[in-house]
Amino acid sequence: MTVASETTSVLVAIINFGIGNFGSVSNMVRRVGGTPSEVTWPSELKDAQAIILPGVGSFDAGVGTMREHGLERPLSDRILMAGVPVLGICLGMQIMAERSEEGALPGLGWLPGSVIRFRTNQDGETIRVPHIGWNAVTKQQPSPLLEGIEDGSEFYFVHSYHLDNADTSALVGVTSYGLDFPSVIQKGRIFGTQFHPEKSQIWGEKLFRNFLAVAQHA
Amino acid sequence: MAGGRLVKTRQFSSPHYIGDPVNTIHIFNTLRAEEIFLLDIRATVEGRDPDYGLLAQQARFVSVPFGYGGGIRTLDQVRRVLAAGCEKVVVNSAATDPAFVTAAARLTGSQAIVVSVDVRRDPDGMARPYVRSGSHALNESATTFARRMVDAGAGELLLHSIDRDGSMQGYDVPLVQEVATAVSVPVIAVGGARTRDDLAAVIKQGGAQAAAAGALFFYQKATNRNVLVNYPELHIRRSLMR
Repeated sequence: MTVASETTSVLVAIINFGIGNFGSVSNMVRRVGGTPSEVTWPSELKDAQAIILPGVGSFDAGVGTMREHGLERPLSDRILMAGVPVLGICLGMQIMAERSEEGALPGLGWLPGSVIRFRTNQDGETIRVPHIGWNAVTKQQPSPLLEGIEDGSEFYFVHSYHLDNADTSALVGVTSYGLDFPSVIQKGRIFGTQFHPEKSQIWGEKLFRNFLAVAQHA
Repeated sequence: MAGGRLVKTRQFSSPHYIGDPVNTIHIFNTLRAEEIFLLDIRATVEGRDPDYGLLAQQARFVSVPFGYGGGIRTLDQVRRVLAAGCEKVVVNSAATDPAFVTAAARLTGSQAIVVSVDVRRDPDGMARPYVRSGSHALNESATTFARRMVDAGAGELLLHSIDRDGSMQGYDVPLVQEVATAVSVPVIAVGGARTRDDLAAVIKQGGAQAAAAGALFFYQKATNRNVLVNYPELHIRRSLMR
């Protein structure tokens, strides 16, 4: 296993929502040379150079746990004020939007747009939900997150909801499942993927490497 | 898997030793399998918990989606299996209580809850669901059971033909057609794949969203069951699906 020397020192806070894939995400962080640290409470955040919101569970459970643990304010201080880069994965990206059909609680509002459920395709026919499987990501504009990743590379998706009405200036990648939806988002140093890069083999690993490089070049 | 050893069954019995589970999972990960499921076929019958240590071990190197099934009967087990680094939990015997499926889906989101619909055909041809490693029949059709599981919150179905398991005689395509048409969630067909063309056929003709296989990926060929772990490369999978 090769460790990229330029990213060895990045301390990556992985936010614990109570249920989730901390294991897979932290293994991937370690594989690309970062140091993962599980964060449940604000005091554990202090040295984080990069933050990951992982994505398993439901919208209200995720955003609710985050607020109950008093994490919303310290996270927004670091991300919006101090510019610590954040990567939201799947649900972790969705909770950064303004709201979701899946839940009653408001989202964090760091990304424009709301989250809606898959219902019908472009022709109005019902589609199978959840969307599960490997699908291509078509690049919309350059982003450090997709640096060196071929256009049309496939990533692993598993979700019933997707981001809608995303600001086109933030739209980095789209994927088609019945209809086109945003699959990669970037607004400044806020990044989000609807797919699971920690489960997307070589391109997922490359995406993590890119994210840590962003943190490195603060 | 049975007793910590990776095995391949025929019609859910006569387990044949394949190898060490962690080594074999490692090979499939290296071959870039699209998804890996590990099913402990003795856990429920023996009343054992999942082997969380083994699951955590695979999570350290597996970079593709990983699902675990076997012995799942409590929400705490579901939580611990995901915490160990699995994306999906497969439920079969415990799904006879749909409220359990509902509670599990509420905890994890339905995308993480896969119900294994294990089917054996009655002598008159009716497709009947079974639980407890194929040993207990349920008093309804496979399609009715599948629909009930989806209504309860299952996000995906593993549609497992017991009759075809390990037979390498081809998938039960009509069974897949019947169930896939009846439900609104993805169906993974498993049981019977003989050739790589069968994988494409069960998706194209059967309407499955995914094709899974055991024997096809474990053995050299149907007529010569030497263990030779194999998996079609991406360009081959693409050309099969054309």
